[in-house]
Amino acid sequence: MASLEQTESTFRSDEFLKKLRARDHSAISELVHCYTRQLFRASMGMGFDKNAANELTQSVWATFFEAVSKFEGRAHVRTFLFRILYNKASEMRRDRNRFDSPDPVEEVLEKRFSAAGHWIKPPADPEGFLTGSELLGTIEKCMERLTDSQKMAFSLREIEEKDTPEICKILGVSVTNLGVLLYRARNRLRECVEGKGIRQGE
Amino acid sequence: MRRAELRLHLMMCEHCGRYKSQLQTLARAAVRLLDRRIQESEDDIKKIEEEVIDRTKKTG
Repeated sequence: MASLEQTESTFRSDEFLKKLRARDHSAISELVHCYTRQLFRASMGMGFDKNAANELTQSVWATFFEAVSKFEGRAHVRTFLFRILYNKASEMRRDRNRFDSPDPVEEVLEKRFSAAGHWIKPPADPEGFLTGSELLGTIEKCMERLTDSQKMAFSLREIEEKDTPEICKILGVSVTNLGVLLYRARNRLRECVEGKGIRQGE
Repeated sequence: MRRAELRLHLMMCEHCGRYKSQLQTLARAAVRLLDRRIQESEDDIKKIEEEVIDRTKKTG
């Protein structure tokens, strides 16, 4: 059985793209089986519930097959699909303009340091930081507080383990902007989890 | 120069190391959470795959 890497390499070939444009059923089937799970997972990673993730994934495929005849293959088909997903998710939440807004988490972080640059309230031991049966539920609630672009950046990097150039293409951001998104997402998540009082021992 | 100082600090500072570990722990927990939710949705995923493939067959 071919590995994901080998399969994805096939998707780059002109021959495969021609088949897709010609709506060859075996090519379509191969593509749908390879990426539906990833798209669904990324949708849930962005905080959509099961029904919304279902709707979003179907909508991505519908848009993809509408556009596939014009797809030139400059980017990998996977990047193209995730780019559609990001746009659809943003449409769904209507928050495209929230991307560049200042994030209060940076002020919260600054308050953790003294004028001399030392930690005022040092972080707890990581082993004791996340404990308790309500942990996963708390993280889920805290994930909801991230903006869509933060959720998508976090999900693509931490969950889908995509590399920086691909995430930048999907989100349409520079490497610097991606760094800011990830920095804000991780820290906002951390501050939120800590604020819920599930951390132990300090 | 400031960047070099900062990098040195981050390498040596126990608190910053803990902070970084906390962020990594959170990321791992988020992945675990999603894995669990995805396991519960396997049937939905299969259904989407079938529906999408059927639709492309019908629309040619």
